[in-house]
Amino acid sequence: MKFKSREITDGVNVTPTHPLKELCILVGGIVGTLVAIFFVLGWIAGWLVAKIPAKYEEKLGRLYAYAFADSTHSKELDAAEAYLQDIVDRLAADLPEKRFPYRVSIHCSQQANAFAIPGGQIVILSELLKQVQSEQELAMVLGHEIGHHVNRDHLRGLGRSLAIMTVMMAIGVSEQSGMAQKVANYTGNLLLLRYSRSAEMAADNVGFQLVQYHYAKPHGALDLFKTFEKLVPKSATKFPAWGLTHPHPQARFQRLRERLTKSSASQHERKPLAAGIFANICESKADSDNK
Amino acid sequence: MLLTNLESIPNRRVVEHYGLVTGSSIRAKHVGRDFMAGLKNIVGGELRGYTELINESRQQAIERMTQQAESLGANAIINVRFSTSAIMAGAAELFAYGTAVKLG
Amino acid sequence: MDALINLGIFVALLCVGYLAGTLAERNHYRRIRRRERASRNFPVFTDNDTKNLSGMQEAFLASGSIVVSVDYFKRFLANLRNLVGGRLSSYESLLDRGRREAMLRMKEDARRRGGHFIVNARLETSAIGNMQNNKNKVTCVEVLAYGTAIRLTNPELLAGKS
Repeated sequence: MKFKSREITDGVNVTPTHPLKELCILVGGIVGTLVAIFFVLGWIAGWLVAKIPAKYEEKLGRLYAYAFADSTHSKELDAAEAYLQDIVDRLAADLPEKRFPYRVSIHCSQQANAFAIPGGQIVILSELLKQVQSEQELAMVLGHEIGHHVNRDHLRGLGRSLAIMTVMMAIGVSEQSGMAQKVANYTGNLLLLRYSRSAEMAADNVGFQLVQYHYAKPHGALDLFKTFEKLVPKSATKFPAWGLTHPHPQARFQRLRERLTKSSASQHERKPLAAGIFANICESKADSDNK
Repeated sequence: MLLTNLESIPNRRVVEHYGLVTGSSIRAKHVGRDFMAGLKNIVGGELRGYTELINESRQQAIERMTQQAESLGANAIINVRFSTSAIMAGAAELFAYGTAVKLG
Repeated sequence: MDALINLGIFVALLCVGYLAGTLAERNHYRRIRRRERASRNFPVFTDNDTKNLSGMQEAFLASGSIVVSVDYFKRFLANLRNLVGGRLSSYESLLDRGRREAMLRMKEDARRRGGHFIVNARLETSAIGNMQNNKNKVTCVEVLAYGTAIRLTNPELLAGKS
């Protein structure tokens, strides 16, 4: 046996594929699959949501309602809730199909926001009540939330995020190390935001239609978006449409404004709020929160 | 002390067997080196600090094995094997073992 | 906003990892090839058949080891690949580099200490520091090459090892 020194063979253990090409294929494939799954699931969730009986929805709603249940109810709070309830009843009176009566409640908070909760509940945060200027604006907020109920958006969102979580667990995203998970989360979140945007626009439409039915002069409702614009943080205008759960107020205003000029040319007039009705609703509550 | 991973030394005869000798050394990460390694981990390539650290530890394991063999009266260790195992995050065991023998 | 900053850092790390990593790898391969060519005539055998060996002067243990890690970009690629399954080609070059470097170091160790060839060469690979999925841990691979270096009384006999 003799040792012969041969030329060295190189690179038999390395695949010659360019890493960037592999990255593109992998990212494209994974994102594509996720998007496809997302839309299929969204479609299924939307289809299923329409089949949920009102009875179960109310049960589901009770789970959520705990989070907004205030133990102490002052007289002012009760009066304000009754006032809001009256507006809601009037707005909802002409809806063609009602699954359950809409009930409105006020929750004390520093944030200006409102939610639609399964089971026909509407929660308005106290800060928002302090910001609105006229009854039309208030009706627009309530109409918007009724719009969510009519379109069953809250359930759809719930079903969708549950489905997404299940899929991500199934492909093992939670087990993998951080980076892949981050990518999956970003894409998932963006899609969820995008989804809620179109739903917000639809809810705006329903809300504004209700206001138009019940107020001879609905122009004032559009002031709501001017109020909102003041609340939007400055950074959001620099990076529009990315970080917000709702579309930019300016965009919403423009859309409805166009509809208004098409349908009727009522003059701009506001119906004032019942005087001082929201002044002291959360005073005692705020004190106890500070402690 | 003669160390080899052969079963026997060519041209020499084993006169006495003393059985298995082992040497082990467990090292945890080094704070300073670990920091550098963390940076190096972004660009990849050889982590020189770790290479040195592991070589030192392996040397220590070999020394311990040799000590044991000496105390048995051996003058060579044949069939030496090494193994490395990560026993927990940030710590590794370097292990050496072989058969202590006396060569004639 | 936070998400954007995080995304920015992540993309920057990917770019740095890719550029620096590719450059470092290319340089390393260049060095490996040069040294492999230089040590082409230094034989390494994996058998332990030394019964008929004559003219041996000395036998000793020679070893070479290296700890290598993969860059940020390739690690990300491997993580993605792990979701889908299939060949982890981004780690192949890591192990290839590690093995060849360790072998070269073993040869150099043997030659420096006066050996003429190596028999019973063994390669051992172990992952250190990547227990579980702890993302902040350094993930790297240690490759150890070792074997018995033989020194002959008459190196000219080497060509006729039989």
